[in-house]
Amino acid sequence: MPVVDGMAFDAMAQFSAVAGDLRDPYPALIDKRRDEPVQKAEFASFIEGLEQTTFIVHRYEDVANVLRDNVTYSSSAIRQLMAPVMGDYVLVGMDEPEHKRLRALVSVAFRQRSLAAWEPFAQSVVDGYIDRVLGQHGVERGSAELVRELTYPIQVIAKILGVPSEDTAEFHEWAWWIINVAADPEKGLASSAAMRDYLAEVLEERRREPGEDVISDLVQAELDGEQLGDEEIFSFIRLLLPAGAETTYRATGNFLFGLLTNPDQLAALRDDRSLMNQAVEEAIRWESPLLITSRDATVESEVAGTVIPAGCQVVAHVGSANHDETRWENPEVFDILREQKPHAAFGFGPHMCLGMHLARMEMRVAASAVLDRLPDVRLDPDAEDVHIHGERFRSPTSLPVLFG
Amino acid sequence: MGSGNCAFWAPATFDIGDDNVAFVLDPEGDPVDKIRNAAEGCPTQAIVLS
Repeated sequence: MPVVDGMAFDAMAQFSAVAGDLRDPYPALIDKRRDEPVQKAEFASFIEGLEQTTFIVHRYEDVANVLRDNVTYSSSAIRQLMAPVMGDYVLVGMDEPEHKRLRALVSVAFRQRSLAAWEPFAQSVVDGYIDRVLGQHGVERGSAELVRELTYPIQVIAKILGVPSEDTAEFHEWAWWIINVAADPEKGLASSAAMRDYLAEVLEERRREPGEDVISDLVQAELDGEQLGDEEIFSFIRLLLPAGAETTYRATGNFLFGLLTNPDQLAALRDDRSLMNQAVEEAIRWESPLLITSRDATVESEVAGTVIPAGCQVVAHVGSANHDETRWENPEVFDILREQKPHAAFGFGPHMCLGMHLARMEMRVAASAVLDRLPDVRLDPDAEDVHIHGERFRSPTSLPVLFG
Repeated sequence: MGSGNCAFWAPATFDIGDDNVAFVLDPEGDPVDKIRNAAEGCPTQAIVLS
């Protein structure tokens, strides 16, 4: 299996330009949870020209309740936002019962058991990157920049979906602009069109000769006795590819950042790999790659004493929920040994992250490879100002490390 | 919906069948705090502890 460089596109430079340089949103969120757990704000909508009164929900229990109650809080606004770049059949923008029927077409592929079959592939991709790092420096003494070297989830999701791996660099760029359509609609639309044209050929191939991948599942799937149309399948892939690539590479970066900036915990994990699963969960809680998600209020409701009128936007702040001091002690601290509890980073309710088991697997595989193969890996002490940033999506600026 | 989050939090207690529906493998398969996490982590609150 040839492993290609998926990083010709410099996502980090783009990310800095668009996502903002908010370093630490968490201190302000402590005040919000205490004083204004449901904050009313007037926001320019993601949809151009539409002003919408928005209520930002900050406490864990309230965030969980909002995301679970998909009748009161609809996902339709996400469809409005994403449909231009992902098409009409975008899972994250659907309500029940439509959502459940379409999600069922792909959910089996993202089960823990199905994903186990892809783990050796994920390992081979990561090993390919580490081979390259070691090839440059040897194991004796070397350096690497892990954000760029280990940005591999695009290749894994492409493989699972059934997109040829030699084209992942292009896909990474398209995926980035699709998911960030709010930042640059023109680029988002152009990338969406490019991906659609490309996928049209892949679909034809899979119809002729199905393989073991999601695109093959979808071209053979039936809904109410009818096969899915091309547009429906494009919608699935244009959602799943960016979703599987972007958030996971951010989460992996945040996880490595947490370990490298807490050498005692890195050492504890190196010595006891049975801590890996809880370390992954703690990383996703501590620095969730996606901080907020939004819903539309279909009827009037009340959250933490605040009345939310019908028609308003409701933002569930999962980042704030994951730092709720009523649920976690010292929530600002990255602590892989803390008591394990479910967190809000994958959401709740029917839209709970389809790819959560894939994200967990990829983070585990990447961290294991770094610990196994880069001896005494540590943050480069001369590196300047390495930090996690971002207002909506968060990940580290860079991860310059030394080893050997 | 077969998210499989219960089988993640309490793998000796829950599993997902070929029909993509969760089922109980062993009601006492894991320590009670793990089973509680499985119930809390269920996206549709389908698990009720008695």
